[in-house]
Amino acid sequence: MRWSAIRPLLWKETRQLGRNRSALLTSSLLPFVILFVAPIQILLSSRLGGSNLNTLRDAPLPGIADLGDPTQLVVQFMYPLLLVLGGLLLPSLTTTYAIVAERERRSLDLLVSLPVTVGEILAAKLLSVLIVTALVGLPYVSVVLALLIVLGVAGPATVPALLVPFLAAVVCSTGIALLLTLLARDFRTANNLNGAFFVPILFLSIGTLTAIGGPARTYVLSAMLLVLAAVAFLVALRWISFERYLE
Amino acid sequence: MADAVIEFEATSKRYRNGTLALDDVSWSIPSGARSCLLGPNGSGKTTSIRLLEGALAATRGRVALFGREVNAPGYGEARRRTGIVPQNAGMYADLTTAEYLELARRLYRRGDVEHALETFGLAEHRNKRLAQLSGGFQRRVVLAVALMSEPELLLLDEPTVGLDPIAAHDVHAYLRTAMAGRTTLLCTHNLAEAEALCDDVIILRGGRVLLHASLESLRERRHPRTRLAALQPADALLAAVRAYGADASLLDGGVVVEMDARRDAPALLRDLLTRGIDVYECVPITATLEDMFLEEVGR
Repeated sequence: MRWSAIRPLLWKETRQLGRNRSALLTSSLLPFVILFVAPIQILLSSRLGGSNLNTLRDAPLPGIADLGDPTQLVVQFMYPLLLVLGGLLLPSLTTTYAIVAERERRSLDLLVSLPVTVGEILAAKLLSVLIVTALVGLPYVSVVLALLIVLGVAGPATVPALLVPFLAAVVCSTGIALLLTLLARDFRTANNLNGAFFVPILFLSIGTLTAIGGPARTYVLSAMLLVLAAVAFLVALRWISFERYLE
Repeated sequence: MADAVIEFEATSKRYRNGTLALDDVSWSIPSGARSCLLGPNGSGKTTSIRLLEGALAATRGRVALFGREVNAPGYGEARRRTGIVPQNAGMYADLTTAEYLELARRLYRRGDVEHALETFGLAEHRNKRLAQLSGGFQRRVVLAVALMSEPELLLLDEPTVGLDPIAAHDVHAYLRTAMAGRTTLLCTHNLAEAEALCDDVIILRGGRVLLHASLESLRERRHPRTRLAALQPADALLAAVRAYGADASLLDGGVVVEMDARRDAPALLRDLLTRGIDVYECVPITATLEDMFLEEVGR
């Protein structure tokens, strides 16, 4: 793959995504609630003492037995889960839109008639999704992380511990969206398949967070998401093949 | 072939669903040729174009552009020397004419967007979304993109399909200018278009090459025919021609005689006049590509 070909395609993709405000709005509204509103609400509840987190602490699951302090429960369990949830939701719709829309409107023939490969076309689409995701998601996450530190809820080590699973979730979601989009023939099917994959991954994330104790839990969760992403990318690019995209 | 611009060498393409689109085909076209790829639906024409584009990989054999095997080192540069007009592609509703041309300029790494907009009469549509343009203007955009980088090779996949006659005429005019001095492969169902724009044909059927020849040699291979019309009924004319000893048949109110008009018609006409047949028309029939195509494909 040549960066000299991917760069102009990236320019095209970001321009198109920027013009599809409805797709952007739909894909960013739920993450806004999950990545921004919910964490701040939980943080405020926890700081104001109005939270019922003690209930969770009193009946601890194996992996969160070490989280006696409600604040730690928020930082090491609830926040990673919310960030993973947001990270999974944010790119999936955009990826599906960017890839399936091209096939549905038959404009793919316009692109492959230019001196680019199908691999470069898909790479540019995935990169554009990651850029849009970063632009939409990272500001929310940054504000929440900054608040945690400024309010003295967590130390600087929390930043990578929360940021890494968020980014891993974004990569995982992008990989799975790519795989499902190559399998699906239309936008609706791709979205339905995405939803079907989303729930097991969420349960897997909860399982990992509750099964692994200590500060390593978010990194183990990140590794699991990255493995899933790698498998999805590998299957999409090798087994499914680009030919399927052109069919 | 040393100077072949396009090469298919023992190439087969089997799709994932088992369809064998190309079956061990070998053909090439040299620099400067204006060739036409003909064939019924499903004969492998679009698959051939997609293999040349690098969008599909051959199952077996070799496909090359300017001597560079598809997707091997050097192929990228060969692709930038090739302009492609895709078949009836869908248009972007979120990209303007100027932006699409700019994308092509960046990918080809040469060309002048403003000049292309002017040349193809697209200047006033520069800020319109591609999907908002009429079919004729959309085809002009695709042609402008294919030609903007001054490519040495043009691949045209059904360039006028779906266009009204005026828009098709418009596109033909652009193509005639564009094809001058350029190696061209035209993939079409439109035999009149192929005949007007190309010098030789490659006929595919069932994924195999049925014929690869120049139009001139194809015409030479056909038996010369002459059309006659007379004031008397066609049946009377036919009987008189047969009485002379020529092989003839009725066609559209006249008679078609299997003979070379220049060599044999004077004697026949003299004979017909003596038999009281008033011939008022004697025209040599030039075989059309349609005749030749139907004959070859129908064999």
